[in-house]
Amino acid sequence: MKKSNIFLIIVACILSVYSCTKETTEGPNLEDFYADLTIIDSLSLTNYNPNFGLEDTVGFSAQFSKSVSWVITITGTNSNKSIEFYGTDSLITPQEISWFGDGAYNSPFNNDISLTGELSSPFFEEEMCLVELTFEDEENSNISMVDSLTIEGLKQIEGILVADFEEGLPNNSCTWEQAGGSMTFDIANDEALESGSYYKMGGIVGWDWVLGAIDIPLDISDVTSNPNDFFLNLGILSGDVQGNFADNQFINIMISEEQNTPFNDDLSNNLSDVFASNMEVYQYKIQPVDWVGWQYKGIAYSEFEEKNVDVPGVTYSRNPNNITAIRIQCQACPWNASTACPNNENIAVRTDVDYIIFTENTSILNQ
Amino acid sequence: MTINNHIYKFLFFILYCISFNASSQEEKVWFDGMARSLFTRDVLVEDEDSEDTVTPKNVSNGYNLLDLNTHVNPIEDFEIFAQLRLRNTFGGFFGSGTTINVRQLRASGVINNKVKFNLGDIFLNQTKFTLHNYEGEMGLFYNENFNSYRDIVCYENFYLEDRWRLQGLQLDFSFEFDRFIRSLEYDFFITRPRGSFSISDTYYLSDQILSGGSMIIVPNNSIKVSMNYVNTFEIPTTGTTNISLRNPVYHWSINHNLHIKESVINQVVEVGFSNRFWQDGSDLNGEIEHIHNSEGMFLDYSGNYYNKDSTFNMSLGYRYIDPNFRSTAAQTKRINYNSPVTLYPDYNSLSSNRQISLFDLISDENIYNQELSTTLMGINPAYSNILPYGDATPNRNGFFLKGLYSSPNKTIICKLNSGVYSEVIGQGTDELRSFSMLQSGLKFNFHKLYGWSKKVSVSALYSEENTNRGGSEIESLNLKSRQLGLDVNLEFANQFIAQMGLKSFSATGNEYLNQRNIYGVLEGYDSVDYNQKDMVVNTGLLYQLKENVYANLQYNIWGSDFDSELNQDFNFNRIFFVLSVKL
Repeated sequence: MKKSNIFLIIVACILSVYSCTKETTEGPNLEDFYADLTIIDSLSLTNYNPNFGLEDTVGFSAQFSKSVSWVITITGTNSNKSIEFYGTDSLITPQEISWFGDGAYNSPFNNDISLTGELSSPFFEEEMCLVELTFEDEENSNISMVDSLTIEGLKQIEGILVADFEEGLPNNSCTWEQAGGSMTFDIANDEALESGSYYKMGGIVGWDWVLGAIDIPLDISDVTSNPNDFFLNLGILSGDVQGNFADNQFINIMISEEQNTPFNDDLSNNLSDVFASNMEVYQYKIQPVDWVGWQYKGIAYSEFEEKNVDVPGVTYSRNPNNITAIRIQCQACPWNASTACPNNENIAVRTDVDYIIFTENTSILNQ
Repeated sequence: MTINNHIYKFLFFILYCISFNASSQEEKVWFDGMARSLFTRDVLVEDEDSEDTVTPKNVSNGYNLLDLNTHVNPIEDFEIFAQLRLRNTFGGFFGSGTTINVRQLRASGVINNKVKFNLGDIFLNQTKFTLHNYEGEMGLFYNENFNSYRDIVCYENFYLEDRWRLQGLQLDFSFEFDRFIRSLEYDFFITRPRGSFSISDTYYLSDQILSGGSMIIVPNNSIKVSMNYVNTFEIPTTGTTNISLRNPVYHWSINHNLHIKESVINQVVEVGFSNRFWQDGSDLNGEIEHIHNSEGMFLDYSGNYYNKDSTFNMSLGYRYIDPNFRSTAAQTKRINYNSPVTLYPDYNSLSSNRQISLFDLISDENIYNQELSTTLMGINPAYSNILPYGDATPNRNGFFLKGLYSSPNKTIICKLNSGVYSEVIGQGTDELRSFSMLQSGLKFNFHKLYGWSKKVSVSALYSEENTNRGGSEIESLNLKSRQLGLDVNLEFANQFIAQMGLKSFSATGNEYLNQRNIYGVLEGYDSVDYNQKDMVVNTGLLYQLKENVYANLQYNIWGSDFDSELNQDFNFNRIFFVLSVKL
């Protein structure tokens, strides 16, 4: 090979080097880690008096000297309900960060009812809210910005109502209960979570875990959400006037996607026919029900377990629009068949339910 | 000492008998091996102002070991090799502390006088950019008087020249022609650097495979063209992870020699590129996605001049390594800076973790690494910041100059290794780091100069690395590290050499340590200030029977001064004795 050829190869290689690397820097900006944070544009809102019932939105904007982890917290001054928006950037724009009224709903719950558990005020009210922008990782910086807005109108909860028991039991539903003592499986009107009626489920049964159940047929074939974004919401009331509840009482919720069997053609058995052990049934246990008063739960359909997964021939393809029925089953430790719960001989199980509704995208309390 | 002498005599006797037996068995089965006795006693030097009542004041360690190499030649051109290790820790009696391991197994031979093969434990090296065990910091910190330590570190970690020890199959064969091309050589290998193993009951890492090949074309005496390929990959079906690595590296080189009387001018151009990505098969639809894909190329040119009598050589070259060039088998470091140190890992009343220091780099065999790393390993910029991953260090662009001069009778030996580099792209900023390095060594053999029969030599080593970056107060950095080594060897009786040495290291300035995720993506930085001084003073006695048979007694004084509230200073003394016999 001639020397001139070698030289040409070398030159070609050097030239190709400079056409290879297209990036100008590697890794995150150093300034984002070590420079002091300064505010270029302070926090501003696009709407200070939103009426979420009219589909108003509140957009946020701000600009900082560097990319930083920020949190916008909106807190109702009356309800104390709060919602947070997170991000990491040097710029907040209304196009990216807006509040569409999540959590600001007309509450379906009665005013004299307060939910037990962590959330005492599940929804914003028509109230003034504080808006605070803080920076999580800026330990040496006390920078925060505060603004306010006033909610002038609330959204209506959107969902697929399964049962609120105001008109009695849902159409075509069926119920069953054991022949125990003090059995309560019926509509009641004394302390409903929502409106005037709820469904009581309880009693004393010493020989079996199952006390009774209610089966409700469903047709929600127009739902398009995937199981992760499809939520079952229901309120559960427990405890007697003394504040006691039965040991290891719980609710077992079953959802059936059985397509080939009618809901209740066979009247010789106790309940619906679509929850058999050879069918595509999903279940979720709220166990234990160990509180006094109402609690409201939201469960993603994806969290339901496959009940008959070990049964040959049962195929699982979880899809919300294939749901054909739901079963709410009351269970508790049987005092006569188990040594674990002798107290249940003298205390009635209580797992009453109300306002059973499916929602898409989020559960009601997280909306 | 008495015990060691007895052990030495015993082991030497065994190896002598074994060697003798070899000749009596018509060389069908023959033996060689290595024996070593080692003893160390380390003393913690306490600060008078703060007595450490928790940390032991001194510790002793030692062992005897025998590596027995069995070579079985059942037929001509075929050998089965097994290395069996017997190791007895000092203080172990009646079998306690004694271990017996199979350290190496290999079958090798030649098939039909044409194809050479190795199966089992093999030592592989290809090119600096594809498969290469770069010595890294080891090339910087060893004075001649620390050769005893170096022998142990290299032997225990299977560092044979620049080769990685791997397990697999290697095949070599070549063709010779009488026109157009003189020869055509091929080499292929497939190895498994890591087998599948469980992280938990349900989480298994996949098999990691390293395979590759080379083709070398020699048209004439002046030109050699080579093409090389290696691929590091994982087989997802052998584990439970859905993510598996692919890292092919392609390499081409042209080597031209121009012979001028007693010297040769050699030019080498190396180019190539790499691609590294992970196949993500976690998609429920069965689609495989390539994640964290990085592609990069490299170019290396070196012009070399050397005398055929090896008295002088010099290399001048240019190197460009793309920021995204990733080569698992060429960029894996020998030193694993995440390893705990063996000696006094906790100090200062057990409240401080002792970081790897200069003396650990010299003496601690356990901080060295034998496994390939698919992402860039951690570095300590104080010790090596310019080429921490060898010549294949990514994001480097610059010129280098290397040289060696040895007078004909080896009275004076000079070495030089220098370079000026910069980053190709900045890390976290548009500003680029610039680097300069100088490593030089000088040795005077006075006994050759004056014709003395006893060896008298003085050698000095100086090394310097500078890293700078301009820009704002946050972007700017300036790190300087320097080391100076001085050795004096004086043979006062036949084969008895007195050793005296000093090595000091200092690093001052600031740098940013990169934080990378498990896929090697740069995600953040740690700002580190350096004001560190390491020191090792050495005196000793070497009894050198042969090149590979020696006894060395040393007294080392060493420590680190950090001048920082974050790191506590430490100082230690060590008595070190080793008896090494290689046959």
